[in-house]
Amino acid sequence: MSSNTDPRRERALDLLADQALYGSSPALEAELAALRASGVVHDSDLLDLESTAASLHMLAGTVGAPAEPLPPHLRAAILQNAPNASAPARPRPAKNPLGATVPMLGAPPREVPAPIARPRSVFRAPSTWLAMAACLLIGLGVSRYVTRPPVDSNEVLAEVTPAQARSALLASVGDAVTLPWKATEDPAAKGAQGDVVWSKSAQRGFLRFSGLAANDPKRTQYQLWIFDGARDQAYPVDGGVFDVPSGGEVIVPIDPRVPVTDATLFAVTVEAPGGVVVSKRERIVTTAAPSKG
Amino acid sequence: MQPPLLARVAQGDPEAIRECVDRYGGLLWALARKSSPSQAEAEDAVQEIFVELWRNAARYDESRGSEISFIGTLARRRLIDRRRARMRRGETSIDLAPAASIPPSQELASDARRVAWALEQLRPEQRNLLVLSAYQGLTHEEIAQSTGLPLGTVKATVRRGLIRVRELLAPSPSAVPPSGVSP
Repeated sequence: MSSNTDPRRERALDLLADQALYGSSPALEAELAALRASGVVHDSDLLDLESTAASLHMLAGTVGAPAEPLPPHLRAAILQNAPNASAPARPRPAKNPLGATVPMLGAPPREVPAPIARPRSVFRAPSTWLAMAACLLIGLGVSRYVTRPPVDSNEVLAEVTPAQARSALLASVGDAVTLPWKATEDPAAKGAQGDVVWSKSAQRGFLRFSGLAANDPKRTQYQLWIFDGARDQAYPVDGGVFDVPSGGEVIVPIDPRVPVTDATLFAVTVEAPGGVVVSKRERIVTTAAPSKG
Repeated sequence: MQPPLLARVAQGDPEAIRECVDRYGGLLWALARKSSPSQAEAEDAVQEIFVELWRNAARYDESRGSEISFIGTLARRRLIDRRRARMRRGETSIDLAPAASIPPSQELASDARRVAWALEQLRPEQRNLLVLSAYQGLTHEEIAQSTGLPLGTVKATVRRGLIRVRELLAPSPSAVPPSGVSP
């Protein structure tokens, strides 16, 4: 969805931006209806702009400003009013750093107190059995830090490791390239070897390292940057942050989050925990680039 | 591979529902507190948002955008509606003291960096006005009043800023050419 010289589309995009930011109005809808009828704009344009506005709303203020914890009584009330609130949780599998999971058997249920009644809230427990179900809610001890969905124990064998996923990508797409890392003079890169696999068609890839210095995630993290020939080189695409444990080979999935049209260079830097929006490039540890010509 | 989280929420999977609350509850709570005049209002707003989410989870289409964009759209609409209702009732806003903070999940932090990366590439004035609008939820008139800029300038700048961020997050043939800077 890009601007062009058609003034009707320009006007339509302006109206859609207003709608995405502030909601609709009869006058806006009337004018948009006429523009839609002429075919200069589509429903997908509104969805794209709404999605962008929502992302800005949700996330623009969170970089460097962590989210707040949901109060326990509010969490309990939300779950109490959710569908299937009375169904107990299944045992959660433990997670190892390489991505494979093993089932955690016999995890005991944990009682939580009933939600505090709020006279002004419209979400009081509507019946006695719901209040009893709330008392039997099973909590998840590491729930704040979950980044992957729980895996049923019967599906454990179907979980692939990063190494297997890397091999599968190489085998399944025709445009996957494998680029060797070139270590810099940075102390963390002394003895570092490995490669980066990247597929433009799949928009996926994997970093593989051995010998890269282990990091303390509370002090620093590694961050991948993808320089895209179709974008401003001052703003390489963030490929994600990752940690390197001590010893052995590390394989990390690449998660660019923004489409990469023409990857011209991959670079790994050392950054503050959580990564940065734009790197100062003070500590570049490895680079990898497609061969020219 | 498991279906997306919201697909499992739509099926009434209790595990998925709990995970959804734990993954996004903190962020929605922070947004509700920022836009609500009291803790009670914020709590009601968050509960309304999750009820809306349970009702609409089946409408989430992974091909159309991220989970956080879908949830953020629901949240934004609900918070704007509540704010408009308070304004119609003549209620004024009260600033709440910030609560204790916890780090967001790595996935949310990655999404946040992505959005901030796009904002970083806007002109400072465009970025500031867009943040006031999309993030703070101020109307064009409120932004014009607080910044002293003409209303027409505010409208045009905010609109174009949102469209530009959308373009940056999804490259098109009109994407910016490289400036030649190397690492």
